[in-house]
Amino acid sequence: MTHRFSARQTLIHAILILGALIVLLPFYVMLATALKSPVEIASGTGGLFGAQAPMVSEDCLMQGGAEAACLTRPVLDNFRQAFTKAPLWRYMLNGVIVTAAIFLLQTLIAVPAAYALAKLKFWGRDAAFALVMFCLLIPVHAIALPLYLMLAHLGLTNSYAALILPWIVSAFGIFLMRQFFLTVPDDLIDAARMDGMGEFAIIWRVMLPTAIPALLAFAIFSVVAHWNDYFWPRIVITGDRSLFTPPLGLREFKGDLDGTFYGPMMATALVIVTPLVAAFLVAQRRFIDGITLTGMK
Amino acid sequence: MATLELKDITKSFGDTDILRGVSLEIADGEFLSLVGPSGCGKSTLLRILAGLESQSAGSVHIGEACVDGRRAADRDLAMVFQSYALYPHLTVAENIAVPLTMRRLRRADRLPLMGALMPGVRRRRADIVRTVREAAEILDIAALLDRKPGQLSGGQRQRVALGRALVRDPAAFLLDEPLSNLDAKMRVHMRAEIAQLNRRLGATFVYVTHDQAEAMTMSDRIAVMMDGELLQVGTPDELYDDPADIRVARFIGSPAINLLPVETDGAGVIRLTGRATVLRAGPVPVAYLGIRPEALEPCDRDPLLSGRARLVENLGSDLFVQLDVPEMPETVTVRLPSDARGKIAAGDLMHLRVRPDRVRGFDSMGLAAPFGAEALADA
Repeated sequence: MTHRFSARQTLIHAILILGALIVLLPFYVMLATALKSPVEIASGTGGLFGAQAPMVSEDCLMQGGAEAACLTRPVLDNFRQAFTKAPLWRYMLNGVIVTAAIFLLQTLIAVPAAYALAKLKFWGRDAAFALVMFCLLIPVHAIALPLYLMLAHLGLTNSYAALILPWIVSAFGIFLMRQFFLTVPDDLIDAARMDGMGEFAIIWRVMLPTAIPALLAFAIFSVVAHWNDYFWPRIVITGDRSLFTPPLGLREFKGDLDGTFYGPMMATALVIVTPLVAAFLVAQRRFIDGITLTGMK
Repeated sequence: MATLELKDITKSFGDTDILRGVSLEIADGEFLSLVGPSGCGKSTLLRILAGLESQSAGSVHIGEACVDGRRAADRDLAMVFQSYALYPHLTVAENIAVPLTMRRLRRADRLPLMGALMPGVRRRRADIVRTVREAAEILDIAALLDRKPGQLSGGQRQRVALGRALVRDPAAFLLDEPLSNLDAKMRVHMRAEIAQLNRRLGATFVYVTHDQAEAMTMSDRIAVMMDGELLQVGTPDELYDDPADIRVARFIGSPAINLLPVETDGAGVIRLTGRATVLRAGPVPVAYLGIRPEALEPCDRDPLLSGRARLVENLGSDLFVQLDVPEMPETVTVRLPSDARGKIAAGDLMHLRVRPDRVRGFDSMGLAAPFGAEALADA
C-alpha cells in the first residue's frame, strides 16, 4: 500500500485534530490549575507547570502555622489542601459504593428484562418495549422533584439509598442489552434449555457471559454518569458530609466571600477523574477483544 | 432409550397451518429421518417433540409417558442444532459438561464459590470430568478439550455438539440438519459417523434433513413431509421403489425420477404421447408414469420411448443421458452403466424400454395408482 498525499485525508485529519484539541482544552486547564500557584492562576501565566517557586501557603497561615513551617511548593500545597480541607478519601469511597451499587443493581434488573424483551414471546412485549423507549426520552430533571418528595416521605433523604435507589432501573441499560441479545442466536438458548437450564440459568450462565462487551459499554456509561453526577447528590444529600460523593467535594473550595480556591479545587477534580480515566484505559482493550460470538456459526 | 410417539400433532400460527395432523411412532433404537423441502414443517415437528415449541393439538409420548406441557429440560432428550449452538465463552470440556452439571449438581452446588464447599460436590465434579473425557474419546476430540469453540473448524464443532448430546445418555437424540453447514466432503464423512454412532449407542435418533441423500444413506426409516403432512413413512427401499405419492417419488432419488404424463383410455390402456403401450391401468386411471433413470434400458425394437440425447454426463461410475423425447414436456434422464461410456454422444437417437414391474403409476391427484394384474401379465 502506498501513502500518497491526499488533500481530502489531510482535511479530515485537520478537522479531527481541531476537535480533539477543543475536547482536551478543559483538561489542560484543569491540570495546569492544579499544578500552579494562586498568583500564576490569577494572572494566567506559567504555562502548564508554573515556575513552582517556593511560596508560603495562606491556608497554612490561617490554620495558625508558623511562616517557616508554611513554606511549600504550589503543586504540593494544592494537593495537600485537596486531601486535608475535605475528607476526599471518604468522598471517593462514597463514590465507589454508590456507583458500584447502582451498576450492580442496574445489571441485575436490566439483563433479565432485556432477555425477556429480546427472546421471550409474551402478550404485550412490544408495548412494554415501547414504554422502555419512552422512558429514554424523560430527562432526569423533569422527575427530580417527585422523586425527591417520594424519598422524603419514605424518610430516605440523606442516605445511600437516596443516592442509589432512583437509578437502579436503567431504561438505557435495558435498551442496550436488548439490542445485543437480539443478535444472540435462538439456537443457543434452545440448546441451553435442552441442556436442562431454566430461564434464569440461561440469563446468568449463557446470555450474560456472551454479552460482556455490551455490559462493559453500559458499565462505562453508568459509572461515568453516576460518578460525575453533581445534580442528584446535591438534592438528596443536604447536611451529612460523610455521604458526600466526589463532585460534592468540589464545593468545599468554593470560598464565597474570600474568593474561590482554584488550585486545590482543580487538584480535587484531577483526583476525581483519575480513576475513571484509568478504568477506561483498562476497559478499552476488553472492548476490542471482548468475547465474540464467533463460536456460533 | 425409549420409543417416541407423536399423535395427531397440529400446529398453526394464526391462520397458517404449519402441521396438519401428523402421527408418527418411532421405535426404540431406530434411526428415523424426517425429510422434506424447507418450510414443510419438519423442524417444527422436531421442536415440538423436543418441547421447545408447543403443539396446537395432539400429544407427544416418550416411552410410556405423555410429556405434553413438560419443559424441554425435563424430557430427557438431547438435541444437535444446525448452528451447533455451542456456548462461545466455555471451553470444549465445559460445553460438553453443561448438561451434566445442570442435572447432577443441585442449585446450591453450582454457586461460584459456595458450591465447592457443599458435601459430595468434589466427587460429583470428578465424575463429570471423567464422563466428559469418555464422550470426547468416542468422538475423537479429546485433544480439543481446552479450546474455545471459536478456535475449532466446522467439523470439530459438530463433534463437540454431538458430544454435548451423547454425554448424558438421553432417551433419544434429535438432530436438526446437523450437517448442512459442513463442506461436501466433511458431510459424507460425518454422515457415516453419525450412522455408526446410532448403532454403537443403540439409541433412538430422529434426524431432520432436507437432503434426501442423507436420509437414504443413514436411516432405518424415512418420513417424508410436505406442506405440514406426512406423505409416507417407510424404509429407504420402500420409498425409492414404491413411493405412495408423486411428491415422494419426485423428492427421493438423484437424479430425479422421470415422470411421464400419460392418458388412460376407456379400456384401461395407458397411452404415452398418444400411442398405446403394453401397460394397463388398474381400477384407477393412471395420469403419470414414474420411471427411475436406471430402470430404462436401451433396446432395438418395440421401444417405450425414443429420443435424441441432448446431454451426456459421464460420472465415471455411471453415465447420465438427458433425452429429448418428442411431445414430452421435460427431458427424460437415463442412467447407463459405465461400460456404455464412449458408445453414446449428444445428438444420437436412443430407443428405450422398461420392465413393467419397475414402472410406478400415479393418478391425477398424484397418489400411487397400482397397475392391474393383467398389465403385468401382458408384458
